[in-house]
Amino acid sequence: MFYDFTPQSLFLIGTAGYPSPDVLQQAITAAESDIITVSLRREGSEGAAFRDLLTQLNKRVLPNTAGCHTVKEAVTTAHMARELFNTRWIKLEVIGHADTLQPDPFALVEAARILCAEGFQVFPYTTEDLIVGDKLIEAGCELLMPWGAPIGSGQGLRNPHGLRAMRAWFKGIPLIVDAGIGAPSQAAQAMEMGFDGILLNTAVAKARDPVRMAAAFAAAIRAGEQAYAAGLMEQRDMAAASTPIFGLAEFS
Amino acid sequence: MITLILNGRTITTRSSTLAALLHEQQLDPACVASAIDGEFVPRTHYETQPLGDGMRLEVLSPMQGG
Repeated sequence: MFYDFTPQSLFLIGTAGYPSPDVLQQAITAAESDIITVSLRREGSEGAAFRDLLTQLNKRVLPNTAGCHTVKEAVTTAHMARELFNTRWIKLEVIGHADTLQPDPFALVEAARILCAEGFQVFPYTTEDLIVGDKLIEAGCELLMPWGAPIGSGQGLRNPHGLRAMRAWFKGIPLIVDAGIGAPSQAAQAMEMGFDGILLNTAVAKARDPVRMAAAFAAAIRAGEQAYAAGLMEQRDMAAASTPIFGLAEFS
Repeated sequence: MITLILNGRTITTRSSTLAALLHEQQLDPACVASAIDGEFVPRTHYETQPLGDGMRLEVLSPMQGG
């Protein structure tokens, strides 16, 4: 459950960088996502077409504060997004460095505190740092979005041990892996660890066939979710025969 | 005449309110959100929001995002 919303799909998909609006629309359909991320930018030539597309898609919209580097920028962008999209949801990004696009955890917590107090339902883009996560929860966030790897890098889960620790630490708090996922197997890996959702954009948008890739991710995320629910077996160092020994023939 | 910066572009205008400026620039107020000098200006204030020389306006609309 993401705040007051129970999604059917745990695949949240971004809307940027597709070869055409038509492919974007088909990819979102193939992804079977309930939630799409969007941004606010200066009005360009395709503004009206994108607004029409949003209306047609009829999905829950999660506006982001992408590109914001300060608390002030992020808070102002959130205010604008709330009015424009008529939603309390905000994907809060406060970027610390242009090269890594790593969150600035200090500014993130401060912005989250301000926005939560103003009634926003904040989806904070954070790292796997447990203390930052605690501070975000303390600030009023009811879910966390740790990165898998830097935005757009496609590296997958760069720190699986850290993410596993985070999953164990924040029992009952929805955790969505946001950013850095490049392949469906990586998304499945996160879901198998018990994460509650995957947010990605580039891996689908920049695939040779985005529609097909969206479907592949949808299947992988569903598979990972089912596997976690079913309970994965423990790994062991030595083999354990699966075929019964009892009744084995003796040929010599 | 007022000289201000709209979405990074320096313009001169006769409009004295934000509502008038948006009309002049053919921007539909229902499709945008605005900020002046880094502060959000709610849509309900457009009619009364005065403009001044050197103001930095950002008028944003929904766009693709990740």
